[in-house]
Amino acid sequence: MKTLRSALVVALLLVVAFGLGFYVPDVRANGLNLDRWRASIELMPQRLQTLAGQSPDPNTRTLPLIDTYSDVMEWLKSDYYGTKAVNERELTYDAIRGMLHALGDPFTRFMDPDSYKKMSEENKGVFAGIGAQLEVNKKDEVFVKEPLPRTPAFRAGIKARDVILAVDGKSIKNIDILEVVKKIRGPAGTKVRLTLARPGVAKPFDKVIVREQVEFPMVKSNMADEKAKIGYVRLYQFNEMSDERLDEALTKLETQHIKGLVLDLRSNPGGLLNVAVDIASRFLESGPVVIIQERGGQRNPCYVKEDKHDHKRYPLAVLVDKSSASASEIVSGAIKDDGVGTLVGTTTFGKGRVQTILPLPDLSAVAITTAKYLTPKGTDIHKKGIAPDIEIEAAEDLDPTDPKTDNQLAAAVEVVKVKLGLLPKSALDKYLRVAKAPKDDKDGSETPK
Amino acid sequence: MRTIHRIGIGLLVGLVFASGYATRIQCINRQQALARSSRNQATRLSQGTRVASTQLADVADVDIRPLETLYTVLNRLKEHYVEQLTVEDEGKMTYDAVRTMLASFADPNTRFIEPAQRTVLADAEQGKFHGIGAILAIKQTWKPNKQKPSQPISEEHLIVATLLPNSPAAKAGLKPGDEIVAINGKDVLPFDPYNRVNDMVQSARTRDLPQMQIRKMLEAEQKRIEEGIGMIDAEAMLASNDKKPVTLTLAAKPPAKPARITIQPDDLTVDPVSDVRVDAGGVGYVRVSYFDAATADEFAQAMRELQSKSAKGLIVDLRGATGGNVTSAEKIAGWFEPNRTLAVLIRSRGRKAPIQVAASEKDIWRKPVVLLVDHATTRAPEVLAAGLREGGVAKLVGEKTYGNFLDNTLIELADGSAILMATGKYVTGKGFDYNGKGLPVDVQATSADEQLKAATKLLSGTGGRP
Repeated sequence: MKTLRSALVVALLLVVAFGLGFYVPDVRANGLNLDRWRASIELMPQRLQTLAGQSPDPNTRTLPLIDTYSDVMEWLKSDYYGTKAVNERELTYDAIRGMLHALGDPFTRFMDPDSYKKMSEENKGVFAGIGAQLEVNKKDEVFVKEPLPRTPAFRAGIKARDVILAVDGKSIKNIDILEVVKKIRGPAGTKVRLTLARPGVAKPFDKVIVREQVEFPMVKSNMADEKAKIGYVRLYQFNEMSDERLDEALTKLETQHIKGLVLDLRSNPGGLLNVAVDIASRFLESGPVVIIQERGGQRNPCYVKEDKHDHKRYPLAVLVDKSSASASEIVSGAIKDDGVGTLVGTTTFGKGRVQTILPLPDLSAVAITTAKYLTPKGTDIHKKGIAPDIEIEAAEDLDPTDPKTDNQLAAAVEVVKVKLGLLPKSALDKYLRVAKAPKDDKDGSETPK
Repeated sequence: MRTIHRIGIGLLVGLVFASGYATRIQCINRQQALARSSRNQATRLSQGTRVASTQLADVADVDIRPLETLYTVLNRLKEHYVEQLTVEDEGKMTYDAVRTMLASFADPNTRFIEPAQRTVLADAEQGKFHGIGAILAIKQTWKPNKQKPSQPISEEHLIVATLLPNSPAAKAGLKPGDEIVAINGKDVLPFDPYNRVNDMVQSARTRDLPQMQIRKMLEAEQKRIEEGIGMIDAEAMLASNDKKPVTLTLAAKPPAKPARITIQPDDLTVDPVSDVRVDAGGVGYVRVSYFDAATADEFAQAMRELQSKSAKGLIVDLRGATGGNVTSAEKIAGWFEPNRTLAVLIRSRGRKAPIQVAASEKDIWRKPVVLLVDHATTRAPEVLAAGLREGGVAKLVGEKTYGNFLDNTLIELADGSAILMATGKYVTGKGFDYNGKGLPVDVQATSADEQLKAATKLLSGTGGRP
């Protein structure tokens, strides 16, 4: 017994001695800084791994990226024989796209200078153009789906369903819609001439429009139910202007004395993380909106920003679908976990990774997945999505421009009505019956705040 | 006793303390070495680029920024990517980087070759073939581009160039010129998936299209890629060691419908030189079916045999012959016209390298020669045929040849993978370029019988070299 104890003491002593020896350089470097000490203790296994890991031998079995790339580039430049010129810049961009592809993460991606510029514009929420949303119809013609309000297109009298025949006198027949969009866009202040055919008008006619800075559509709001005073806000994406526009929309709805609210995040691909936190803060009382889990497992919660509490919180339903992604999922996930609103629609996209955009020296940029985000309850929704509280598929004939055909919106309005006490709780039974599994946190979301 | 114990334990503790310290110092050293090696990589590489630049005609062309960009991306990934990158990850990244780089040329002769495919190629150099026993060629056509008329879209087709004699494919009834459109029900993709995904992602950046429309486009294309098989994978599959039967769907030749053909793959050793004989009329015959490293020696043996049997004329049968070993072609030409230019290799940046035939053989063949060729005769055999025809050494009988005079170089990488790169084109000594056109014949004959008859007639008709 005594020998055992002394053996244990000796073993302990030895371990402590090894540890102390190991940390001598840290004592020298860190002094009495406790945080650094904790960090360096956590690093011990990783440090020991470097000993076990591969030696820095140049002849490792896998090919080193930079060396191989530069060798290949050199061979191509000196000896490639073919019709296509060896363009170093384009080839490097291809190499970067390839190397990122190997990670198997579609969100870690490269943006060449053009794409990066375009993305920055989108995040700022403005671009230079005329402000008409285009689409292709069944006859392969490009037509105006919607002239955005307060834009040159709108002021020039362009109407929905106008077919575009030519841009600056050049026919766009058989030209891809993306190219047409490029042709119509241009620096602010310049002019573009569109030749249009309007249903019901015999002859095609021309319109000359001056391009200007146009805001992406960010928010659309109206009354979903005049009688019950239920407001409707649709958020198209999360960019630098989104929170401000949402604030305006809510203020406008409040002049109509809304009692309940439907937030529509369908087809919203997301956007900026901090904007998602801002927007979620408008609906949540307190607590974390989202938890960012860094590489290495450290969790950093982003808390509700109380300075965003300038509107009353209403009984809330949130519309989601399989195209609600990223920032949309942060907002809907936080609302679902908190129980402050009810999610209606279909399971969301499932993107639970945060990208950081790192600009590169040549004006291109790379978006790197740098962290995971978890919902306030700690769920990783990546590749799983968020299941709605009330599952309802979009009707076959749903026309996004016509609220009357929107069965999901109708369900969301009913949910809010139940919360307002305008309908009995049993009114929702018809939706729950088709749901795959009963949702346990449903009750919590029914208390109006 | 107890004191000794205590001293012993004290010493031990001290020793372990020291070993802990030593371990840590070693950790630090290792980390520094790792850091140094990655820094060295960076410096080595910029020097490499500089070396390349001295070879370039236009020095202003050299740009260090792309490299800097790539280097920055790699470092950012190492520092920030959500998962710690391993050495294996970097290996995969290298493969995909090189693959995508080379795919962007949309050139069938410039591509990345994985270790498994590399072995297949190495075996082929030795005359050992696996799979269905057909030499495949990737034929490129261009389709007009709706979006950018200046950049037509490359479409690739998998074509059966040659069937090796007695190969499983020949037995199953595959014919040269057949286009393989599907393997085991999977469509052979007319584009490189890596390249296509890039294009798609780039064009999808324009977010003005309704999200759903972009999604549908991407999903459809993704499905096509997932359900299909890439050109290079298809080629590798048909030449692999795998012995499972494969079913090929061949492109329709109107009015016939697309045909399906099932082939049992097998290993096959091709004798590059075969059928050496002298007929009753004294005409010698030798068949050369593949140009690899051993071809020239075997040909020399055949020539000695024919000379010993005192053949009066010579038929060299190059029908269906292929193989990229131009050195063999050069040595074979040495039997007929030493000290002349067989061909000129045009390389990049206007460089020209004449292929001079060395006078290696003492007993030069001075009697008449006929080369039998057909539309499946390709690569080094074509270069040989073009050279001998232009030099007035031989007449060509049969059909116009395939028309591939390109020179490819296989660059081996340290881990067993390789890079195939188009490095030039052969033209004749007088500068005629038959690439893509095919080499015309002197006497046209379609069926195998007629070809042989025409060749024999030509040889018995003349007394000496034309």
